[in-house]
Amino acid sequence: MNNYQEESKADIRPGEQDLLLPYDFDGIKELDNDPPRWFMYLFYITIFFGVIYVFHYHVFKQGLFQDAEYQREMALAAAAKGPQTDLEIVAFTDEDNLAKGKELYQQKVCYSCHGNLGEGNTIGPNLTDDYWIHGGSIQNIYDVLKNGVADKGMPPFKDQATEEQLLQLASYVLSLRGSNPPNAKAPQGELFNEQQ
Amino acid sequence: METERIHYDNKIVKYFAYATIFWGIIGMVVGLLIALQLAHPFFNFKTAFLTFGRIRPIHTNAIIFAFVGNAIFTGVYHSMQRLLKTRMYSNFLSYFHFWGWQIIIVLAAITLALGFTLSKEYAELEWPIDILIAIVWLVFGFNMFGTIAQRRVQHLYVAIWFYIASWVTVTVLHVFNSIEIPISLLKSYPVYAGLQDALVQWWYGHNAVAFFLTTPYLGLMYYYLPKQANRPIYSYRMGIIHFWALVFIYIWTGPHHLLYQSVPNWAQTLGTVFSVMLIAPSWGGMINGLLTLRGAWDKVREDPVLKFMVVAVTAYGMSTFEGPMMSTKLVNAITHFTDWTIGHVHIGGMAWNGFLTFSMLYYLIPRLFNTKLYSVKWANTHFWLGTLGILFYAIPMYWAAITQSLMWKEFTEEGFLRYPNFMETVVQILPMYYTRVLGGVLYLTGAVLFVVNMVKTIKQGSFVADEVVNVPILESYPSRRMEGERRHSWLERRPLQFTFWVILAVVIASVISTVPFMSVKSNVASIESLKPYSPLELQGRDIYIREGCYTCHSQMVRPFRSETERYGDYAKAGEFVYDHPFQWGSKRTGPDLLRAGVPGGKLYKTAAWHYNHFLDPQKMNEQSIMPAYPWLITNTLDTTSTAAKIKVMKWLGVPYPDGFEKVANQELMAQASQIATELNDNGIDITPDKEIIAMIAYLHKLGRDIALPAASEKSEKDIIPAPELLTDEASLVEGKNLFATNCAACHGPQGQGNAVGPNLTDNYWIHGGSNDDIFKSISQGFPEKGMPAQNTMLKPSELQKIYSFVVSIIGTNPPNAKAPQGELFNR
Repeated sequence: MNNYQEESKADIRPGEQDLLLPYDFDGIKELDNDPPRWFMYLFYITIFFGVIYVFHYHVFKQGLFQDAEYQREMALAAAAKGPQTDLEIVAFTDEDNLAKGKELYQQKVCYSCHGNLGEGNTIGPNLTDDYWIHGGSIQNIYDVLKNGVADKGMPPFKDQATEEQLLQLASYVLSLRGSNPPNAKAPQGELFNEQQ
Repeated sequence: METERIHYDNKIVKYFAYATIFWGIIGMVVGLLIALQLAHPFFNFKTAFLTFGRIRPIHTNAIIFAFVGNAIFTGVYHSMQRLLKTRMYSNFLSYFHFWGWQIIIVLAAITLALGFTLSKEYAELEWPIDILIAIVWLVFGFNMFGTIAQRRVQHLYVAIWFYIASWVTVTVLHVFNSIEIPISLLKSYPVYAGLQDALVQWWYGHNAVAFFLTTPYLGLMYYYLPKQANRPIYSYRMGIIHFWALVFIYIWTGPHHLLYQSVPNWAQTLGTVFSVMLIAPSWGGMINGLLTLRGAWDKVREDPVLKFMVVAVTAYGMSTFEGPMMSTKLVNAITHFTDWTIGHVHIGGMAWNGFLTFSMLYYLIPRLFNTKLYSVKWANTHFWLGTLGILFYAIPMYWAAITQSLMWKEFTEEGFLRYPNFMETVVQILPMYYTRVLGGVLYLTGAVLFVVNMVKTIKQGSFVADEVVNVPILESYPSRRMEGERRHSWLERRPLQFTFWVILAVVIASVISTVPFMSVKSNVASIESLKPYSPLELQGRDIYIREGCYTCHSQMVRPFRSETERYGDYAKAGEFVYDHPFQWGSKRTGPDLLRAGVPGGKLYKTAAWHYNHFLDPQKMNEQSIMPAYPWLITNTLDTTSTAAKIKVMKWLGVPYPDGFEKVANQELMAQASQIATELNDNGIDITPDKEIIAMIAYLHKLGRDIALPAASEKSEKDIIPAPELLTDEASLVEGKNLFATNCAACHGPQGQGNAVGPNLTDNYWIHGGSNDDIFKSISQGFPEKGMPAQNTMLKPSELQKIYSFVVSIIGTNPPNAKAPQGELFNR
């Protein structure tokens, strides 16, 4: 026999006697209390919510479904953005802008394909020599940053940075020319002549 | 009253209890390991079977099916004998069940570690194990219903109702979610694809939570809580209401895992409204539990076992309020794919399931061994360690979730994503990941203390395998309802009728919420440009599944600006029709990969990048927490399975040409050679037969097919008159440069045309040769023919220069000019 057998007599408090149901399940008694009223109201309210929700979206067609929601979100964003402006593409040479460009070089993870010092690696070309695949002018570099080179895996950054930031980054890249970092990748593309 | 002597089988209870403790500790240790892996990739040890993607399913399966599963069986085998006043129906079935279940767990751990997985969450196990589970589960059911049939009490107690409902529903769920076509002994494809697979999987996934982690535990609570508190259940009627409401409503809620995803709106509505309606039925259990303790809170203060129960039941109440909130679109838009889900399930897992299991074992082990608990003080310490562990786990998860979600969604004033680099949002929450490790350590420490306490208790006690009890002999009742007998009271003594109503509730809800998607084709928008996976891509996809990539990377861009800006066009249901199984994922520890293969897309990476990234992700990005996959580079791709895979896919309706399986490997090698050559050109030494080649092929397939038609959906913009034609040298040079980057790929550097685009230098034009026509063609493009609209990419001033340049080269007669196309236009 178990040590605990005797404890199975349930602890019934005053006033509960009348509510006790006649069954006994291994010593467990049940009271015939009604569920708390607020509990039932909560249940009815959630059912009511469900009905309203279905009617709102599917019968009266008042709510926006996800495609419509998306279109509205995009339209609002486009309206807030305003027209594109023209930026004059001239390389920055001041320290402040070049420092920002350097920061962007890290932030946009350029180093994963072009190396920490722009020396290039098995993915991307060397940015420090005089050979360029898509041209070496500030405009060329800016364009490549902006629109990317889809078939070669260079991503476009026009959705990630302002034109000014792109120009800062392009200027920084331009400033790396001739820096001769260690482990530089062999030149690719054509020799770019500044006077061109 | 006449009585008879019977023997309760305590040995089977002891077996299951030991298994619960053993697998519980294993599951928690594995959980701690993956928490460490998320904090620092070092803990993946660059070893395939220890890497997160394979270990995470081991953790979830160990906790759900090994720890909680064995705990359910412990409680059911213990309480059912006592509630029904009978021994279990068959010793043989009991031990068959026990050993069968343990074998399944061991097989699950081994196969998952080796990468054999279906990738459907909590249903990852391959088909032979699925069959084994079905057999063992049926044996359990047979044993349970046999026991019910030979009971010596008239009425079934509420705990038994929950056991019956759990068994019935899990049977249905397991069978219908596991319909898969074998390719080999350990590889199969589910019959469902894409949207259907997602809906069936989450019908299963959610109800695995409901009918494995919830309803059996409510049954356990209804037995052990009143036993430990020695108090009567507060409300019998409440039990009836919340039982039937739970059984009926739970089934519908699956689609709340798929809000804002590529499933029909009305499915999402079902998911939302039924989840909200579930609040009260779920709370019914909590309220009945807590009100049973009414007037007995003095006991709770002193008794650690009751403390565990109170926290478990309260956490259940919190979790079942949080769940419906997360099922509304408003909250889901923020919490989905984040660590919120992880926090949510751990409140359920650690507090509700974990604490209730501990309290049950604290109650049960001393009784099985005829002794007192070795140390109440240790149990109290365990309680506080566990509670702190839960807090240190859950709070950082909620914090991380909100932080990361807001970062994902934040835009700058200029209209750019504030954190376009996904990594920034990961780095921000890494401290939370470390704090979670602390939470896990606390919880596990408590559990170890519990084990020591149990061992000491067992050592000081003496076990009686067959407990002798005197039980009254059952008097016979008429099968019909007696005068004055309440309808439900009658049902409680008619197990077959009772089970029938349970089945009816479950089946009705299941059929309405899933079957319409099986037959109605119009629910899936067809996308013509979508091609089946090439053999190499299919093999790559299976490696993606094997490595559990879906545990961290979703393939489901939701229709939010913050997601389309980050990942590309949002997902359409029609994209996934060849996806057996679907790979939408449920958590974004890394970025979404749905558009990873769109050239020029936001996430496109070259083969060389992928190679380097798989080899050493931290070399590509120091802060990355992605594990390294060096074995993909050294492993040779198994191409012996290609033909069988193509055959099964064809049989499932993927339109490969007849006899394609015979030539599939030739095509596979041709595509592999291309990728290998590209890598070789970049100075990477690799042969085409390696697994990484297939993986790269698959990643480059993602989103590629539908990239072009998606652009054509953009409505035609109003005609814009051509701007002034520029003729100055500088502008034309700029135009030339712009032409070189934007147009030359298809029209040749001099506009002479090539295999893709027409010659622009002759007088024949497909879309008109007037200045206005040319400008419009450049500006708005012809997406359906592959000519992109430039006005979305270029500024007006740039458009003007490009247009001026194009007009300037008409009649230049460059070498290698393409033959004229379109109609003659005289300028």
